[in-house]
Amino acid sequence: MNSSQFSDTIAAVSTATGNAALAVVRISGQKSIAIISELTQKDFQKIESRQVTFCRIFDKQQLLDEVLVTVFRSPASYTGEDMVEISCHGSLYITQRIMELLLLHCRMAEPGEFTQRAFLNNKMDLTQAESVGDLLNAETRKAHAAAIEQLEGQLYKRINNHLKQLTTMRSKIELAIDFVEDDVHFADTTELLEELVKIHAELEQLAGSGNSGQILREGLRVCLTGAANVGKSSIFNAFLETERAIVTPHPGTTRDYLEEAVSLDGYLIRLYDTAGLRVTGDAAELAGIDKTHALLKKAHVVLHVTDGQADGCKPLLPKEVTIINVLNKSDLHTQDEITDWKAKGFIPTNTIESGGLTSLKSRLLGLVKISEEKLHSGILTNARQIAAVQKAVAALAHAKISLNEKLGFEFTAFDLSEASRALEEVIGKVTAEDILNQIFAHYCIGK
Amino acid sequence: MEKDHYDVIVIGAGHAGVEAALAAARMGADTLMFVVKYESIGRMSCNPSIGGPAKGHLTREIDALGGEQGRITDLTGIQFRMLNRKKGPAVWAPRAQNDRLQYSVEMLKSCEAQSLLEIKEATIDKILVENGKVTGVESQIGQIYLAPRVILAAGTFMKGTIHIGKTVYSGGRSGEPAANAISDSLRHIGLELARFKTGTPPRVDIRTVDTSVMERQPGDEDAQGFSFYRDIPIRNIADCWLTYTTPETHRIIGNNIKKSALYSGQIVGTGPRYCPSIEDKIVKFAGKDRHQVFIEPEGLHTFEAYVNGISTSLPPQVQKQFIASIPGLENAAIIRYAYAIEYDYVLPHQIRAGLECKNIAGLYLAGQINGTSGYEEAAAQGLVAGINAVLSLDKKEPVLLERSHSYIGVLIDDLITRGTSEPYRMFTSRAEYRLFLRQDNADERLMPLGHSLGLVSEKRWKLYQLTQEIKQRELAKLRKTNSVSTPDIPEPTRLYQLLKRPQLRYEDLPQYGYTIPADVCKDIRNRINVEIKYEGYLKRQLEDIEKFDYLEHKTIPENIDYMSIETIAWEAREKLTKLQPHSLGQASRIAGVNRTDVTALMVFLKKYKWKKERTKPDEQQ
Repeated sequence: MNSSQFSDTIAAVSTATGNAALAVVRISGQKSIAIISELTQKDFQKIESRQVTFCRIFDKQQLLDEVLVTVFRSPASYTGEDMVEISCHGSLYITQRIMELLLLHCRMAEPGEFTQRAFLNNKMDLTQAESVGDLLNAETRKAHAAAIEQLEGQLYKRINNHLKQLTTMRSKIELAIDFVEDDVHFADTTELLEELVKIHAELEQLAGSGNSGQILREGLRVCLTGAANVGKSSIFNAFLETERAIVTPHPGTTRDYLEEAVSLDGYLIRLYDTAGLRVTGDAAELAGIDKTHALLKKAHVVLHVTDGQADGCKPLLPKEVTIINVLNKSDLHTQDEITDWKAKGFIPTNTIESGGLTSLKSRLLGLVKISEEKLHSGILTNARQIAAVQKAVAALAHAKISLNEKLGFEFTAFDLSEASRALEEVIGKVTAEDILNQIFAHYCIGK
Repeated sequence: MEKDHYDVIVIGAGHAGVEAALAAARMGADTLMFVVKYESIGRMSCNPSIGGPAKGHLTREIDALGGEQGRITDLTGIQFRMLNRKKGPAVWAPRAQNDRLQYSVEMLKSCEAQSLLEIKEATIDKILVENGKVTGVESQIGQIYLAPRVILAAGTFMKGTIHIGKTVYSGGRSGEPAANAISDSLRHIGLELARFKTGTPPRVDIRTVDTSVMERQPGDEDAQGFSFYRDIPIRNIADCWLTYTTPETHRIIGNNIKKSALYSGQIVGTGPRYCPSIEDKIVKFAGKDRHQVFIEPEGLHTFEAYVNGISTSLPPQVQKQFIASIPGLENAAIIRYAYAIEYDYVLPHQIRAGLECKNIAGLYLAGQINGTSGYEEAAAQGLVAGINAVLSLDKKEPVLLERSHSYIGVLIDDLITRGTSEPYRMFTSRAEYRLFLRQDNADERLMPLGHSLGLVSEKRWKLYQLTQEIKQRELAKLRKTNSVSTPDIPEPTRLYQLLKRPQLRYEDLPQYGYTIPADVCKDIRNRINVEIKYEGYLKRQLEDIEKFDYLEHKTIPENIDYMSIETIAWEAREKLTKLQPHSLGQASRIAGVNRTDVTALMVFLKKYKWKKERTKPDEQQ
């Protein structure tokens, strides 16, 4: 029997999550070697089994990581199928991105699936196999816990929403195909195309924003705001003096704000010192303020600084931005005053005493670490969600073409069902019955 | 002396029954078919029409497999259309209006001419079973007929109850008695039954219909029929007419809604959502100010016309009143009143993919009795039941049609795996592999099987093979041949690539220097166009099918004790126990069985097999 009997290829990060020097990602199944060849732009069909090969993994032409790859050909592998092991750097961001890239070509392994395949491909004896059932059982429960965690995720909700939109669109197309003789409103190509373009754009945006490693890779963007002379620049400079400054590839290009990057306990923090925000009639200053607003909207954190006297206009910010209120020049306040400010949620700072920025720094570090923890717990499920969205985006691009070229509704329906299937990987199945139910609920059918 | 022993007995001679009986006899079984009323063999009890989206696909498949429905439809059709022409080739759907009487007569002729097939008029009261195996049947008048295989295709006859307003009476369909005892016999042998409802509209005398105020609906000019390689001339000699209900119609029905059997609580069975009564349409879609009403001629030798779109269970006086409110029907003389009918059906999880009952060996169920509706759905099941009854007599494996290869496979798999909460009708959206399951390639998908079963004549088989040869030859030539330089395409290009352009068709190739051979008929030209133009999509679909087939071909042995497999979730264990799937593929489609359960089952089966092998031939070494 052909040991490579499974028709689909699976992948997973095989090492424990967390920051380690190295991590191992495994792929198993017929397409393994083709997939690694594509990812590394190196022809692994020509490379011998068990030979460790140095190569680079690219993400949209950009170097993602330098890795070591080993190919195991069927049946001489753990699962008995063609397998690939990628040893990459252990950063969460890198393993996550590699998984996202892989999942465009294969699917995420179920818990315990490598072992199951090994078993089903006769790579284990009966005694070893007896334990497989128990393992599976335990892993299933873990997977269930992960599923619940996923259910509460914001990304999950958005994906679910898009899946609903897709289902509605599919039911419109099926209506036009199966109930052609009925007297109901049939969506025409223009109408469907409009809807399709909308869903496509939204999902495309989602695919981009779903990158949870962004903060760790690009740094936490911290903006200083507040009235003039409250000491914003002193804080800015104090950070640069006490922490290791990093030469950033994107220095601030305008005179409207200053940008510097520092490494705080090994985490990248980007600091922006902005022009003060105040009511003004001066045109030149207004232009500067507009730019500041734009910058603030992109920030992860805004440090709103006061010295206890002047309190500049609080900027209107998007919900996702965290605002930290800072009482600067704390050395000029009494202990009682400081306690009052603290009770109001202010973090006291000063740039005179050594350790005057300690509280602020630990608060910022806390924020970076939260995002890292999120990444820890969600790393697998997140990569799966992102890959699902990317697959859906690709299928929707096909759908736009088939609809535009008037190839026939059933071809567009096929593309849409492919997009839907990608999202269903995350949400759960939409059946033919669901689509028919929607048709019967909304249209008066019956000749 | 009357013969009392047969190979196969078929109960019922509707669309399922005749296909079952003809297939069985054609495969060499000594067959007896029972019909409640001899002259109503193959009767179209509802609309005089075959086909439409997905239904037309089914009929083409039945024809490719060697069934009768397509041939009789072509012989007796009076109007042919191809629906969905504006969409792609996968959903083009042939549909015919038929001469109702003629259809029945031709079907009777086929049955009477079939050697090894005997027909008897009788109502069957009992299925005889011994030790879990069927042995024969007993008629209402106490006659016993023996056979090791019995196919039950009773349609709406089992405990059939007709409703018109407050009037309720027992009947199998208008003018024919119901079969009441057989339901109890089925319950007695352990089958679980439930009740469905369906309905039929009134018929009027077309001489009293003013078609001048209606929209004419003619057939297609270049009509296509249903049957492959039979060369039956297609006739387009009748028109249908379209009119609409009015606010007055809706007012009359609304005022009398309580008199409808549906709305008085008199009917308990579930009706089909895709074929609602006119009272349902008006109540559920109150915002819609008119509904379509089609006038369809019933035949060439009658003035009776079918009024499609207003099936109802309102009392006759109300029917008369609301019909008169429809433009063109003001003076319509009603020939038959509409009625609703409730009937017993068997919950279909109790049968296997080969349509044999799980708990009674040799008993097959086909057609409306399995919860379906429609002539096409019924005929497809009849054919499969007939084939499998004979195969099992010959101790051969049953034919199990797959979802990936036919609508018939989708139909049966849906029924046995997911059941149905309303009379089941086929839709193209039910078929995951729709791009591949086209009406134009039904012969390629199923004729080899039909031929190997002995259901496709040598003459048709030769024509099929010839078509395939020509098609393959042309495709090979197009892959090798370049176009000549033309003003629009100066660079010589492979003709195969040229045909991928949306605006170009095979017929246009002479402009690019290619001479189309004379033996390439329209049908073959169409096949070439479809295969080249949609190659990319068809490849993607075939990849999906390959994945699907992997699990589908993993069979599960019988008598697995699912409840003891602790790695499978409790709900899934219960479902698997109830449905006893025949393959891992089927198991994966059961509602409540998820991917992890399927993998767990896979692991279990492997161990199961190992243990079995170990207990047997260990000593051989």
